[in-house]
Amino acid sequence: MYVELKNVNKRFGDCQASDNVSFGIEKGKLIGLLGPSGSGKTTILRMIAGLEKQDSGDIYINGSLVNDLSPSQRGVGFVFQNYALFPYLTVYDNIAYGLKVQKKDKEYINKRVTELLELVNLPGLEKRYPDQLSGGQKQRIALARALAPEPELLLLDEPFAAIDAKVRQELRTWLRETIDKIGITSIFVTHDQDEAIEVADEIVITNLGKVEQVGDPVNIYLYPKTPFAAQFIGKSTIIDDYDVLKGFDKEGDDTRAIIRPEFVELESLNSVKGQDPSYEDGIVEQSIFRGHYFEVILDVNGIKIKANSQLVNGPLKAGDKVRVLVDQLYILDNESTRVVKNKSRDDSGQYFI
Amino acid sequence: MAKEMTAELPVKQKTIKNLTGDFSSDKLGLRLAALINTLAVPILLLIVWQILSGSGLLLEVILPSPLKVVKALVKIISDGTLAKDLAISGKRVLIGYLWGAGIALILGVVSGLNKVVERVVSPIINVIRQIPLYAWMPLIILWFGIGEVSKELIIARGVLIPIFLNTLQGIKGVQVEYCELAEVLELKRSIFLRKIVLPSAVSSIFTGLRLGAGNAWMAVVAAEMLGGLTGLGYALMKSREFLWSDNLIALMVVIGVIGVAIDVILHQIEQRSLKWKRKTVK
Amino acid sequence: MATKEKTGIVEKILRCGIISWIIFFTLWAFAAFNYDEIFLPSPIETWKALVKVISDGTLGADIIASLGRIGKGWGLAILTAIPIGLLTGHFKCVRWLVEPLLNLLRFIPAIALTSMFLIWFGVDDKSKVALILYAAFFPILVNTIAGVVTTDKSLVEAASCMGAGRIRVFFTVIVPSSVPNIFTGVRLGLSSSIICVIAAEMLVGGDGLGYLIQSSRMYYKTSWAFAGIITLALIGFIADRLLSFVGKKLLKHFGVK
Repeated sequence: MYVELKNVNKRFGDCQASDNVSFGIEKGKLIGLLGPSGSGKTTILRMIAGLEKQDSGDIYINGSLVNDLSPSQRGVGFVFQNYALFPYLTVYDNIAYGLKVQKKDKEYINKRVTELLELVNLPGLEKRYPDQLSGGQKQRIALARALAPEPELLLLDEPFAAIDAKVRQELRTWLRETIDKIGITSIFVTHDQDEAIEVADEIVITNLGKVEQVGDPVNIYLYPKTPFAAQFIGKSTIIDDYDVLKGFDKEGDDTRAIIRPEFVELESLNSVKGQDPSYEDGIVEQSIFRGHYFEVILDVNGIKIKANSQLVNGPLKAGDKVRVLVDQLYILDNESTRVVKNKSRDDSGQYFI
Repeated sequence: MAKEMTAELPVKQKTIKNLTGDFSSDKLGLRLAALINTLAVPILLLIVWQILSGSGLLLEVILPSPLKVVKALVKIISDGTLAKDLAISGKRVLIGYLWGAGIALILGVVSGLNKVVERVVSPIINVIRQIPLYAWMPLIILWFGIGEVSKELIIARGVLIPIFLNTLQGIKGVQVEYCELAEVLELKRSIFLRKIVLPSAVSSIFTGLRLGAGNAWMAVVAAEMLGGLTGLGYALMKSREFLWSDNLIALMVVIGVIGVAIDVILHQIEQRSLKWKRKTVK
Repeated sequence: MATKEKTGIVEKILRCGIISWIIFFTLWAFAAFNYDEIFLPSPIETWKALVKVISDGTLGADIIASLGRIGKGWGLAILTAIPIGLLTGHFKCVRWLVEPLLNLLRFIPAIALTSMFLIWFGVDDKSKVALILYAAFFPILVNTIAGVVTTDKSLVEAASCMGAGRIRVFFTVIVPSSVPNIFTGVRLGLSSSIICVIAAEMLVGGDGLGYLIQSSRMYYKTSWAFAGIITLALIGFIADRLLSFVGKKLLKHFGVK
């Protein structure tokens, strides 16, 4: 593991910002720290950088224990949410800052700054001042500046939070490509699901100071380990008595479950597929057009479930009757979830003769 | 809140408060610690001062020992001269302040509400402001003699500027924000003024009143030094003429302490009466 | 339509303040007409006095004297208050020392110290310069401290992450960030200096604009006193504008507006 946190705890007054946090990151990976506001993700990032000191626990970077090192000794590049560019220095001097600290000679600095400006796609802006740049440009310069002294680790704190939605999309993709090009181990913090899923190799989900789950996005989506993770990634509905649904029997004491709309199959009342006995009846309560599909809320045997209906099936409106099959759901017990598939799927997968 | 015009004094005052912390929000323990901290260094200095005086390194006249200063202070308190001077200076401050504040408030409010009035009044006020307080004194003395009136006028001049500027600022600041709301709701002018404009402007006005008080205290001492035969300022001059350094320092301490007291008291009044504002508005 | 145009023109006239000046001069001339020259000189008499005082060199000499003192006092204040302010803002132990003194001394106005300074420095230029130094010192100090204390923490953190140690951070981040505040303090210091030099010259005498105004009054040459006051107001105004302009040009990127 390139970066490791072991049993890290941090308290701010009454608030436990980090509660026994442990996880590891492999070299060269781009990791997303994802969680709601106040979940402790920024605290973790800042502790890795040395900007906050943990109350207990150890942090390792590249095998060395860094607990007692100040930020200036850790060799970490940090990109701030508000860019933190020095307003009284030109773009050139901003980027060159870390290099001057390292006492590099003028030629080297020149070369490196030009190189970095090329990398971030902003050649020729050396003489500008930060107040003459747009938000997107500022953030790219901030990245160039953080990368200049060739740090071992790159940390980004909600780098796109302060940027326009449209530009954000472009920057996300661009960030992924750029970091791939350089190959530097990176960790970024975000509260935006989509951003984390799109950009990161792996995601660390945080909630109330605890780490809920670590894994790649698809994995977390398909196999959420905790109720929070299941609800935080992707859309879902929580239901109270899952055994009311056809194809599911009660297992153990838990009755609550999470259903993802992607795993609910909808067929119209008259369709061939819908006649299969594994399907049951449902009524559409609400139907919202989302641009390329309908998000519907179904009433199935008294339970409300969210589902998606493709446009091919025609528009659905409240009151329509449909045939429903829940393919799989996640049973919730207090601390974990387990996937359970619909019993009628246990056979070869063929439903009708 | 502080735009260009009033950037001068408010910034200066505000930053000191930030530096030493707003006592009203601290817990008792922290308060005590802060108090001790504030007193520790001066007390240390006093001790050093006493030692230096005792060792004979300091000329009596230049810097008398703290003990001598205290003795002088006790003397002027016990023989009633301090009380007399304080009363005289105090009365002047009060009258001057009331006149200045009255005029400034009226002008400020009207200018804030009416652009035409503002355009006419502002340049005049600016000119008055450009001519430093002390430069006004000879003129005022010339026209009104070396009597009570001229001193009160000088104080009024000193008070006029900060109160006018802050009041104007306060009223203008409100208008931009709530004016449109009032128009939409079609509020009657009097209700608009009473319920919206005044409460919002009050905090700026209070700041102006407090700064004005500080200025007033300063102005009375200055006025009494430049002309006249009574009051604290004159007492200062007299002490210098007779080279009564201990008396001089004692008087300076009194002047300083009263200045602090005025500011602190007004600040407390401001905090208390605006408590409702901090809870409800914003 | 017609009324709108009319208000347009009226607005423009009001905007440049001419009306106020016209009213002012008219009132002044009228009032002066009714009073003795000694009591209230008319605008014309003031003008004549101004011309005289300029042409025989007294005004020039007084202006130079006053400006010289302002320059020394204000200059010294800048040289002492800024370093002390920077250190106070940055180091807790220095702040512990300075803050209590600052809060107590703040309320002793420069004018009250005049007598004290006269004893210490004699009836000399030194006492006047010392007074100006005292008056200008506090605004500069307070604003410098504010500048240091309100430095954007993320700038300090960014510099740290790039390897900068405490001292480098102080000189390359904190000091530049404080420049706009320092400049505000310096401007306030200048205006305090101008106010104070007048008081000092009036009380102590010798030469300078303050002395000119005071002595003119005492010798009943009121038109001279007026001339002096007008000169003073102009100097104050020009000085402030000039400083503001210079500041904006040179220090644009430090955030001075």
